[in-house]
Amino acid sequence: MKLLSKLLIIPAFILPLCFAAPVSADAKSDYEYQYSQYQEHYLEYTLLKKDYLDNPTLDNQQKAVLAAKDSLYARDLAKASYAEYLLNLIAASKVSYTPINPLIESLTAAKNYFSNEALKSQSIVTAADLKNFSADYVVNSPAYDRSFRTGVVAYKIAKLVRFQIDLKDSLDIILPKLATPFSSALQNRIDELQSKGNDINSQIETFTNDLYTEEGVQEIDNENFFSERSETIKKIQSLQIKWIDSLIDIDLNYAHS
Amino acid sequence: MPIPKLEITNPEAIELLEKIKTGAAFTPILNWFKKYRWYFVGAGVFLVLIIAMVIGKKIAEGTPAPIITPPDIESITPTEQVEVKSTFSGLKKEIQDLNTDLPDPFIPTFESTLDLEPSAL
Repeated sequence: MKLLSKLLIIPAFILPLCFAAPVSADAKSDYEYQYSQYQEHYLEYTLLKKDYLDNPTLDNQQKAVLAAKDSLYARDLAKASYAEYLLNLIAASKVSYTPINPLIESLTAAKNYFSNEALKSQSIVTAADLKNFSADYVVNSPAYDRSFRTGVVAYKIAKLVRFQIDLKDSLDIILPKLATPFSSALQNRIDELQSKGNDINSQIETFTNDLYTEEGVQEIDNENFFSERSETIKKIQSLQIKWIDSLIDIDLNYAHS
Repeated sequence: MPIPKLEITNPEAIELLEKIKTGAAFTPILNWFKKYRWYFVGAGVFLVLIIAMVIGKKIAEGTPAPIITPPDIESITPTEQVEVKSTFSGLKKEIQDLNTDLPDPFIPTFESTLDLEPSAL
């Protein structure tokens, strides 16, 4: 009998561990899952809070506090997973671009902060605890929330830098294929490509550094923060397209395989 | 043998012969024809049309319809367009496909203040 009970107890511990495996395989699906969890819990919290305010019994208060705890936990995990998602997107560009490092560091700090907040929220017991937690959160979280806004810009910068590296590599591939000595017209075109490439690099660097200036930091929370940055990214993208058009023209007309 | 001479003595026959000689016997018939002459003309035209259609049908059945085919024209085969592609076209497409809109990915919104206080509204 004892043996049988042991045999039953072991699977009872092992099976839940199997089902507790990570729900998602990558950062994006993890973030989407966490965000959906937050939406579910938040809806439940609003309903239970309303019940409590309409009928303020101890039981209703406890239910509302528990729902708020679940919402806080889901919210901060969703934020941490969003930061992780952005970090993954930046890393996928496979660039080591020093000017965006502070933006990456602030995203990492945000990820850690929100992960800690998620854990901290689990110590809430009373309505007063909940109120204090939210009061602290309102003061401390905006700095970390801001890192999301700069983080999405950092992701685009990483992409632009990746393109710059690929464009430079393309020019290096094509140069040995050109008949030497270069005609003056061809030499001029190559010089122009190199010069324009450097110009684009400078524009990306200026664009990145502008995020750290006093004026740039003040603009982060502005409504037009994204629209202005988007315009600059578009401008750099069009310069890169012109650059590669010129390179393709050289490839088709001068290079030999 | 001499042919005997016929002598009509019947007064009714004599009267009829007289009417035929003078044409008075035909007057009612001519009047009847005059009265219905347009019916006769119409019937005649209709009859001619029917006869023409029957004859036309017979001729058409006898001669098979000619097969009319358009004249042969020289078929034009389109010249093969050889698309000149550079090895760097893929990179160009990657650059073009970059979504320049911000924020991308979209930043989710969250409620910062979760408590049991009545809302300020």
